[in-house]
Amino acid sequence: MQSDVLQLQSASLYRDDQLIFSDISFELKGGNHLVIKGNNGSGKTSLIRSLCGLTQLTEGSVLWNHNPIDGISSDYYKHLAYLAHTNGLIPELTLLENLTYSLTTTDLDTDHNVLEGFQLKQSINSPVATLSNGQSRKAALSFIIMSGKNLWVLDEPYANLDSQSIDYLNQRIAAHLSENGMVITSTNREEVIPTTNLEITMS
Amino acid sequence: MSIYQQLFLRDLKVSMKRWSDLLTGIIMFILVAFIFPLIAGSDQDFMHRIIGPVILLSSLLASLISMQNIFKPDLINGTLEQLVISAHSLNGLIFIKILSYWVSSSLPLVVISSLIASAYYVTGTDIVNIMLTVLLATTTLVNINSLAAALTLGVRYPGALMTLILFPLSLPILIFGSKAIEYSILGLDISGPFYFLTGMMLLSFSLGPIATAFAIRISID
Amino acid sequence: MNLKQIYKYGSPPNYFRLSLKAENWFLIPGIVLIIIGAFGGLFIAPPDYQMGDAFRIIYFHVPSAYLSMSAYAYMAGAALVGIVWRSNVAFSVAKSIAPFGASLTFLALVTGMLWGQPMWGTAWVWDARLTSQFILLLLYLGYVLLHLSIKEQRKADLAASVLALTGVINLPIIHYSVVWWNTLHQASTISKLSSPSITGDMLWPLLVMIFGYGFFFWGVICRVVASEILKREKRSKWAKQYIKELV
Repeated sequence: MQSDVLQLQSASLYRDDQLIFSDISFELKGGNHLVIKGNNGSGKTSLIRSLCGLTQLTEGSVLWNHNPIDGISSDYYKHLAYLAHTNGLIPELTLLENLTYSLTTTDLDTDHNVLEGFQLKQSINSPVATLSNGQSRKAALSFIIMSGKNLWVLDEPYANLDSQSIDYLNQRIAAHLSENGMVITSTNREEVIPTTNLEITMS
Repeated sequence: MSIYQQLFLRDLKVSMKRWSDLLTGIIMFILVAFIFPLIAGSDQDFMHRIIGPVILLSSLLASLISMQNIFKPDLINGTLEQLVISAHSLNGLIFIKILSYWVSSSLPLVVISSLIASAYYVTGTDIVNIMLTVLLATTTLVNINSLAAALTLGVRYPGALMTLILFPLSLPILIFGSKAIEYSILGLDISGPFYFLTGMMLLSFSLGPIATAFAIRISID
Repeated sequence: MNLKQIYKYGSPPNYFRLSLKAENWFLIPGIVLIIIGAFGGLFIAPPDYQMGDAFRIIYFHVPSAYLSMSAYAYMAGAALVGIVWRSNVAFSVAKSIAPFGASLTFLALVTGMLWGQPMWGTAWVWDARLTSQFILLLLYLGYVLLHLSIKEQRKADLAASVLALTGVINLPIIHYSVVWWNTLHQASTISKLSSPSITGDMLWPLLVMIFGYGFFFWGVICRVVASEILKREKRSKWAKQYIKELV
């Protein structure tokens, strides 16, 4: 399987006159995991949003397979699954309904073992609003895992997770990487994430 | 089930769950129409003269009061962002969202306008014409509302701004809508205003979603 | 003028210098024309057989009205250029025009009301043109307020430009709706408010005033655009150099 490559070239971001980050570059290939580290407010989320094309970079560009992601011929978004600070779940609907009507998840049948792994199987018919913060976060992570997309971009996925879920998440990330998938994670913790290949520290 | 059908049904399901938001607009619609005869007089001729403007004004205020419900909840729970980065055309997705919002927020108004028309001593085909006018006018209004809501997504207290944006843009619909109803009641030829309303509906549903999608991208940045 | 030259003149430092140079070329003719036109309108033109001397206010009302409408078109054009080419210069132009366009519209309304009061005893009439001017004022204010409400400047530029474009597309529709509505509610005042056929000594001061207002307006805009560009580009080398030379 041909390896996809995500490149960030000399990216800088200014908001009005405030510098958020400057001159960041990296190249991420299939099977690799990029970890973005930094304290709160160091620009991790802005960098991640720029990688998803939600925030416009002041300088520099994001390239997917050597094409700019906002170009006409780019198929970047077919390969991207993004976990924001918000969960992307509709609180009024049940977990199952969110899954059924999801725009990203593909195969329902094989996926329930992911929900089981996060111990959410029993909550599948509860409205998302009744789940705890941790459970909603795990649900959102499950959706990413079940999306079948190549590149996972996760903004602080370990926040709100208990250690059992953290282990399960790391397992799933490792499995994804072994299938030549790509993962980008951001975290404000000091500890090393297993499976890290590339690291960027924001200041 | 295509992605657009999925989104349409999902949004419809969600608005049913958020029925109290829908009710805000509907109640506003009913109350405004109710207040006029109470404070301005209720003889039949007068009611026949003001029903056109009253119906249109009620529609405008109903849409204004529930404007933030189009995108704000989705912004807060993160689904709006997910739409933007999905592999599908944002223009198409926003079109479906606006259409679904119109179905859930404005179709009840079409039905209710028939009751209001009866209360205003209107009879016969005039009631149908009134319902048709509300149907057409609200399609344009919902698009203008969506655009205004998308532009002001990041603004903290957008109340005055939304009204300021909404009023000039919706004026043509208000004028021709109330004329359509007035002509119907007077027995005059209604085709002129109706052609206009239909034309505006086509214009707003073709350009509206594109402008709104663009505005959403700007606001989420 | 080929594309390369346009890009060159469109770059911030060049446009900045061009604006400052052009400023006096617009301001001075503008002031001169306004003085001539005002003199002509107030003293030379003969009093109207119907309205007496009060009609002279059209020398201030009509230029403001015309300019307020054409300024909106320019603002929308700049907004379009800004969106398509992501040009900070174009956004500066649009942002600068807005408050002045709004003031012109306000002036047009006030002078229109001053005209109406001695004529028909009422300051406001619900005719097509005054109403359209009021709507135009709302469109301008919407733009200005939207720009002020969004904190990040780039977002504010883009959002306000979308509004300007929507406004300019809707403007003919709104205007003709109001005109159509008005022809149904014919008031006898309408024929008086529309300018009767005016010729000769009454006409030339009006034309001079229209041009004078235009030139003066653009002169002011030149200066405002220049300062806006400088504000936005203050981090760049040429801007720092310029400020150093000033001080």
